[in-house]
Amino acid sequence: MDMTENKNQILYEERVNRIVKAMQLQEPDRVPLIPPEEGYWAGPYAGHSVADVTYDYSLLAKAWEKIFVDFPEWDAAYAPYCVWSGPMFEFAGITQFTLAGKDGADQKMHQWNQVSCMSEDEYGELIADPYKFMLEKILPRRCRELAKPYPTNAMAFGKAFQEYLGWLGYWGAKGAEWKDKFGMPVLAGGFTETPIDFLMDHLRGFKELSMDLLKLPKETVKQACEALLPYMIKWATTGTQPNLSTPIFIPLHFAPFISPKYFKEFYWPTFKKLIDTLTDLGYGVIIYCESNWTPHLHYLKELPKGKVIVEFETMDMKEAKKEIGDTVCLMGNLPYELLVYGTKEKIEDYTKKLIDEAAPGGGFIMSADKIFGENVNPKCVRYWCDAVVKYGQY
Amino acid sequence: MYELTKAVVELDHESVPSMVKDELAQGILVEEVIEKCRQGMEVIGIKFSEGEYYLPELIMAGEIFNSVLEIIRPVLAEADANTVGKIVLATVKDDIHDIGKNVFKGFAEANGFAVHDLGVDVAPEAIIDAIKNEKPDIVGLSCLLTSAFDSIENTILKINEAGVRDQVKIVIGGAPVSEDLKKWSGADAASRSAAEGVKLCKELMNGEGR
Repeated sequence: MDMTENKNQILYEERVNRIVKAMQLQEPDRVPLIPPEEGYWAGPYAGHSVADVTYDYSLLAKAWEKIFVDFPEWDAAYAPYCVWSGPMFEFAGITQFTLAGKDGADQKMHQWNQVSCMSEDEYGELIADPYKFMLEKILPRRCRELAKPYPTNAMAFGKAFQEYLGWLGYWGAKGAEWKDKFGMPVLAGGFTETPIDFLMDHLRGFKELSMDLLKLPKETVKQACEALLPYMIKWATTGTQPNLSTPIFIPLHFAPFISPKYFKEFYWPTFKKLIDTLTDLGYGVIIYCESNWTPHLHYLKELPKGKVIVEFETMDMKEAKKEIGDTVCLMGNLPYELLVYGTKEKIEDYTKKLIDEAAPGGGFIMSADKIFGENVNPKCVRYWCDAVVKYGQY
Repeated sequence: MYELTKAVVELDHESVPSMVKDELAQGILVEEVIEKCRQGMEVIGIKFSEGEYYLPELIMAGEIFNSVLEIIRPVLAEADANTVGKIVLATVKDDIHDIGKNVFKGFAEANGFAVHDLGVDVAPEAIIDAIKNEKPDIVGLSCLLTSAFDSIENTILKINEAGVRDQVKIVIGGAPVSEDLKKWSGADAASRSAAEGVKLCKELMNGEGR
C-alpha cells in the first residue's frame, strides 16, 4: 500500500465513522456533510448535460471525481448512480419517465409521468399474486417494448436486464475505486419503497390512490400493502450488504399528503414492518421525508433506535430534535433556494442555526432539503462546506 | 348549512351530482346551486388550512366540483358571465406535473374565477399569446420541480419583454416556491397551497398585495 492509498484509507474510515457515529446518535469529530446529490448536478457541474450522463455513465463518474476534488468536505456520495441508465430504459421502452435528452430537455431531470396503469377493479388480482400481476400486466403497460409479442418482448427484457446488470457492476466497481483513490464512501447501499408508495408510484398514481382511500373499502388498500411488503423487503436486500454504513435508501412520498387518520391506518403499519424487518436483518436505513412531516412526526419515535437516518424537507428541526432526536439521526432541511440564490452570509447563518438546533449530542447529518438539480450554484456549495467546517466541530 | 353544501363538505361524491340535478329540476336558480357548492368548497379550504383535510380530500373536492360544473355548464348560457376575474393557468416549461395545478383550478373556479388552462410544460410564448388573446387578470404559473425555477424566471422575463407584464398579475404556485423565488422572478404573489393561492388571487383582484 503506497502513501496515497494509506492516506485515503484513513480518510475513508474517518468519513464512515462520522456517518455511523451520527447514525448511532453519538458525537463524531464534526457534523457529517452529505448533500442530497444524485447525479443531476454533478454532470452539469462538470460540463455535461443530464442527457449525456444518462447515456454515458463514465462521464457521470468523472464528474463525481471532480466533486470529490473540489469539495473534499463531503463525507459521502449520496446515491451517485441515481440518474439511472438511459439505454436500459430504452431497451424496455419505458413510458414512466420523461427522459432527459429524449422527451425532456437535455439539461433537466427525468420526470415521472403521472399516469395510472392499474384500474380500481384490479386490486383483487394484485393482492392474489403481486409478482404475476406486475410481470404480466404492469410491465407491458409501463414499457412499450415489453408489450410487443414474443419473442420481441423477451429479447427486450433480456437486453434491458443485461444493461441493468452492467450498470450495477459499473457503479459497484466505482465505489471500490473511489474508496482507494479518494477515500470517499457511497452512502446508499440499496433502495426500496414503502408498499403504499410503490402502489402509488408504479401502479395507481397519486390522484387515483387518493380517491381509493376515500372511496374503496378500507381493507382493499391495506391488503394490497400487505401483499406488496415481501417484495419491498426483497428489493432492498437483493445484492446488498447488511451494515449501518451503507443504509437502504427509502424515499417516502405519499405520507405528508394524507391526514394523520389515514397515515395511521394505511401508511404506518407496513412502513413500520418494512423498517423493522430491514434493521432486524442488520441494515441501516435512510428515509427521506418529503414535504412537511410535522403531523406524523411523533410516529418516528417508534422506529428502531440508532439505525435510522431521517432526512427532512420542511421541518422545525429544533422540534424534531426534541421529539425524535434520541431515536433517529436527523438530516436535511437546508433550503434548496439558498444553494441557488443564497448569499455567503445567509448560507452561513442557516448552517449555523441548523447545527445549533440539531447537532448537540450527535445524531445529525448536514444536508439540504431537496435533491440537487442543475441550478445549484457551486459558489453557494463552497460557502456551505466552509460553514459546516467552521461551525460543525464537536 | 344547506344539505347540498353539507354533502360537498363531506365529500359525498355519489350524492352531490344527483342533488344538483334535483335542485335544478325543482327550478332553483343555477346561481344559487353554485353558491351552495361554493360555500362547501370554502369550508373544505378551511378544513385543509386547519389540518383536518389533506390533499386527497382536496382532489376529491375538485372532482366533485368538476362534476357539478359538467351538469350546470349546459344550463349556463355564458359560463363566465358572472366571474370575479379571469386566470390563465399553466405548469411552466420542462415540468409535466399537474396535480397541484388542477386542485388550484378547482378551487379558483369554485370561487368564481374563469380559468383558461394551458396544461403542462407550457412555453412562455404560449402564455404570452394567451395573455394577448384571453386578456386575463391573473397569470398562474405552477411547478413541482426545483429545476422549474429557471422556467418560472424565464417565463416572467419573456412576459416582460413582450410588453404585457403590466396587463396581468402573476401568481406562482407549487411545492417548491418561496418568497425568495417570488422576489427573484418578479412575481406578484407566491404560495405552496392551492387554497391559499386562490385567496391571494382574490386579494390581487381587490388591489391588495404587490
